[in-house]
Amino acid sequence: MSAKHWHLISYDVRDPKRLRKVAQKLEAYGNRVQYSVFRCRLDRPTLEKLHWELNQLMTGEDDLLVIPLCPSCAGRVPIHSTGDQSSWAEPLPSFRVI
Amino acid sequence: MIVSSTADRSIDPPLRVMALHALLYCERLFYLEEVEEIRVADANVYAGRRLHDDVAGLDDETPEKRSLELSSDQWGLFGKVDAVRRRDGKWVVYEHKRGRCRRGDNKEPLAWDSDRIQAVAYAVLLEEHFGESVPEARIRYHADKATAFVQIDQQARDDLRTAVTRADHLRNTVGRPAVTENERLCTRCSLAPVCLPEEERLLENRGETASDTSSPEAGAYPSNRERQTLHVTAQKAYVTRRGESLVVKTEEGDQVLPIEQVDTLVIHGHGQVTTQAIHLCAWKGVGIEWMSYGGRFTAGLTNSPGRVQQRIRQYRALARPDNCLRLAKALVHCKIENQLKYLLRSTRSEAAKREQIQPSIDRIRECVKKSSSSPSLETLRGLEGMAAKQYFAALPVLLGQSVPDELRPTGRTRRPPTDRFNALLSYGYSLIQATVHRSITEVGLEASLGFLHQPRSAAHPLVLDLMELFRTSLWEVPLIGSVNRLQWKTDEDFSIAGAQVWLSQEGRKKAIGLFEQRLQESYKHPLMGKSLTFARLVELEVRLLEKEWTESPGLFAQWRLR
Repeated sequence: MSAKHWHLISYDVRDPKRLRKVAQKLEAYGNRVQYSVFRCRLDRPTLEKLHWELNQLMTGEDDLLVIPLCPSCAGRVPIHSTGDQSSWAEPLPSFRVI
Repeated sequence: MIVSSTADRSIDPPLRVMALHALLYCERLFYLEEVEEIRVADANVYAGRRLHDDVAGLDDETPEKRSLELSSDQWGLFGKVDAVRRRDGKWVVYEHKRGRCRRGDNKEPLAWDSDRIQAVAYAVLLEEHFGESVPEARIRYHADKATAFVQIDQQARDDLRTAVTRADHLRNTVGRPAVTENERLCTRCSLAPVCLPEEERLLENRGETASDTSSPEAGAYPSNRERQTLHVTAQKAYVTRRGESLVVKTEEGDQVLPIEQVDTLVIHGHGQVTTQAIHLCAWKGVGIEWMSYGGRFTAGLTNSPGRVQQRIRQYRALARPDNCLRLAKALVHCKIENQLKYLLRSTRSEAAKREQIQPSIDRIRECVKKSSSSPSLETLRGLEGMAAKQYFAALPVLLGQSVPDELRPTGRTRRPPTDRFNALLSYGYSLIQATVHRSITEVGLEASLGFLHQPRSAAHPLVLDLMELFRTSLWEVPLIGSVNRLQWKTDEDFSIAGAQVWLSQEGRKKAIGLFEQRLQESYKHPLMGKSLTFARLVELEVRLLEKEWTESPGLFAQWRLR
């Protein structure tokens, strides 16, 4: 099984109904960074699954851009961005206590 | 021949054409997917589905039908054809594959057997559908951009009939077919983590394992925890759903969690979960577990389809007293020996401590010896209890000089725990119970039928059985380590009500953190010779337990602490 990496996913969807569905799907996989830019930490099987699910929702006129980031690229994200972006540098913990 | 199998058709439901593909790839894969209905979609499966959506149309004007659903009562098959095109006045079946084709002697593209039978099946379904002959099928291999041609002749029809008959035969058997001999098939198989082919082969050539274990090729076992476990300990928490995310509302505000990042939701205490959130978790295969405020495992929920064959096999196996005794012996032996090894390991360099607990060690050693020749379950339980008594008497000696007196136990007390150390022990055990319960349900076994604990018990006996394997390694080891590192505060981490001691909110968070970290630590399995996380070890032991009554006994409860 492959390792997880950060992916920057951005889209242009040209119909409000599809747009909402695509946004909702991406919310299931990661966090919204900007209006149509998401950040997801995915391994290959999950990425393929997400890609396929998005394919079902989008049509030919919509665009999807997936940028895989290697760990060192992701580590440099906080240097060049505004706001607190420190979470790019560290991997997701295996549990969370609320 | 056809007539005889049409009679069978009334019994068996029709078969997916894709299932024939699996059958020709590996009979065991077919059985797991079609009969036991265990399906794991990996990256290749999704990429394949996307390919079928993406395949662009031809630029010429040939008439074409896409994604045609077909079925035939006569063949007992149904399926969806990728594309059918009119070529030279005849219909031709097109099938798209992501991979590479097989190459013949002159490097000409040929179809793999499994792909061929699939194309043949679509062709005969089309013949029946259109009422005219379909003489040819073409399989497009996208990885090397080659097309293989398949003739639909009498030979092809006979092969298809053989495959369908074989499939029907397998569908009416209870036992899993053997692991395939061609190991290379397994490396690309999505069901390898369920089928565990390597463990199976390990048994066949057990003599060679000693050399294998040290070889660097023995790869690391992948963690089965690709996602986060979400523990909700806040008392006024409210878990609800927004789209495909879980929202946890607490007094400190809302937290949104993408559902695909969660593997289990554990509710500690009285947090609420809405029905909508439960539906989402069930749909996405996320387990939910409830623990009481005091830390007892209350209930667990996993959307696991009823795996009938698995259950039948388990019931048959565990209804036999000799089987139960054999498994119980392995289990108790593993538990006591791990306790012994832990005591020995932690006093290795401290002669004074070793001397102090030497009588306990001797008695536990005696129990280990007796456990392998014990004549009945009652004796085994007795030995287990005797060893436990000695073990818990010796355990306080492992605590360092600087540990405050409040954290030192006075024997083992439970229901309720009467000192801080026992409160910690009990809390950790319920975390183990939740983890084991989750693994058992995920693997598909029935938790209410165990072999050491009696089926009359209210808690799930199989969970209680398997927990015994992990008490020392998953909780006592990290716990004593943390106590010795003085990580527990005697006031803030505990709440004391009369004689009873519980963990406070803070203490619970710490305990969960400690436990979850332990699950992530890796450990080298002595038999498999592979490193795997403890989280994965729990699941592996459940699968190995099932193997005890399916095909290859002798692997369950064989791991030991070092």
